[in-house]
Amino acid sequence: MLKISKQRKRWFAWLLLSGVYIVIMLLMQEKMLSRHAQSLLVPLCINIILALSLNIVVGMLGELSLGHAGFMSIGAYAGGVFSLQTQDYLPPLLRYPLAILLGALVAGVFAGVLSIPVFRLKGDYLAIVTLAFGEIIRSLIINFAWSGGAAGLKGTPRDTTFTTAYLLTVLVWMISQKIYGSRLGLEMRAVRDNAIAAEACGIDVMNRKRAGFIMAAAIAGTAGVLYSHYYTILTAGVFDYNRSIEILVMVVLGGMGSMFGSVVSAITLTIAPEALRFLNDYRMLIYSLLLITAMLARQSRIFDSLKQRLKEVKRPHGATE
Amino acid sequence: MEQLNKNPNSSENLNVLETQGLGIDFGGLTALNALDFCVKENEICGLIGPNGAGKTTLFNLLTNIYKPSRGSISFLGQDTSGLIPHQLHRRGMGRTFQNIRLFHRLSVLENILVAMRPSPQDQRKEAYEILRFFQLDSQAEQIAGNLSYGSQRKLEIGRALAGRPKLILLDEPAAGMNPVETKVLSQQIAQIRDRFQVSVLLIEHDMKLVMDICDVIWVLNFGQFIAKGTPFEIAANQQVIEAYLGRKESSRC
Repeated sequence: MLKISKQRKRWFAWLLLSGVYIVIMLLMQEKMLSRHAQSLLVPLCINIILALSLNIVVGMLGELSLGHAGFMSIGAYAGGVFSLQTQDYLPPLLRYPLAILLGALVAGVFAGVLSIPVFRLKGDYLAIVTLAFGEIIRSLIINFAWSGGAAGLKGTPRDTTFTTAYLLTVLVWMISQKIYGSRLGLEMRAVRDNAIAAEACGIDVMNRKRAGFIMAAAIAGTAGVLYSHYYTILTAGVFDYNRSIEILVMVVLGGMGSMFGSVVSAITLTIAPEALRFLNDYRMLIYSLLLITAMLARQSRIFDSLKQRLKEVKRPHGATE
Repeated sequence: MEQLNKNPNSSENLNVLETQGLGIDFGGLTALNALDFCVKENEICGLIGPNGAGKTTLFNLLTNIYKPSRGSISFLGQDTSGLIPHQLHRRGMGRTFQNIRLFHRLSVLENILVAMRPSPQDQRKEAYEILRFFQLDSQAEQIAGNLSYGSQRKLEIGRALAGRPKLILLDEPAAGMNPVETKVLSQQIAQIRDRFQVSVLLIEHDMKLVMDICDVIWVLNFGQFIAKGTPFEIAANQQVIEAYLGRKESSRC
């Protein structure tokens, strides 16, 4: 009984995902999407990936990281520089996947090194150190020659299309689902709920925290590669702490630990500022007000009771044993 | 007193846990001084003493949360110094906490699963067995934080048993429970030993529980053991009575 419904769910998910893709492709083909709307598609995917990755740290591990844009920029520059250097030798079909892997790897390695001292700290201290890390990375990139300095890295091949971005988003979604349900995910969530008890239950707390942090950074690095191969011009300025906060807001608004929530709020928060363009000067003002209202609504019980109702409907199918 | 639950030949069994000259100082204060202590195999061992005697400090030493200033601890015949708490769990020591520390956003079942040793096989069956023992199986899918206080205490003990430990340390398992709940709990603790083949060391203020189920009771006062013996011996021990009630000129005890 349970197995059938699970399988059905999976089929439904695949159908939905490919449906969304086909509809968007058709709309683009028929020129029914405005140029402006089309230009939002890839950033939308990038934001979803970023929100999903930060959700691993904030939602599953319960640690506050304010330097996520730093890992994204590491991935963006690693992938970008790689593609620039190899574009004469490697075909795009090989170069692009390699750039993505490299971006993820380098960001992951940086996270691995950073996590050794960082996870001796907790809570606010961790947040501040990660914030500082993001800023340090940004300053370093501006001052290096290979990164193009303040003028930016120009001429990265434009390999990212909506299709690749969409595929990667789906892949990241599946990976985070997998992590959440795995033994590792379970242990990370246990650490989040009570680190002292987790330690007493045989969980290597430090190790789990590092693992989550590294995975999140690697995924953010992937988003960075998508970014650099979409805009082709890369300046370090876009990866400042504002960007990190933006990602954090997506995760918090979506409900920490909820992957579906992260996706929905990433979509909303990417589209909202654009949809509000008709307000001209009042755009950011209204956007902030909307954000505050949304946060307050989240905190009130409106969503909880809605969720409860959904669960009660689901219960008869979801019962185990 | 229920003699039925007592293990008749516990004195012949091996030591699961043993300390020699164990002590710890906090600054200039000697919290525990040179303790020789042991828990035998399949024994339910009670640790009692007035407030501030050092019971929880001893627990924290045994679980390697504190580093001892002197002396040594050996668990299953091996020295435990330098081990991190999670390594101690893998060697077979489970524990509960005085203030409940559950994984409150995980389900009841997940709370058990996460404390089991990682294994490629499906462990749900074993986890359900533990839950059934504590009559929590009907609530397996619930979020642990939503359980009643008494159920949370039971779940915490269940979680301590999930790693198939050789010894579990219970820090005031009956704290905050009403007399009926305490009675059920004390029966369950007595059954745990046989069902899960585990030694139990418990700190408890509820004297009835301690007297009912413990094979041996150790009494701690001012960082030193002042008595050790069966519940019967402890109840009659003059020093213990003095430690708890104070000395009186015209003592009527």
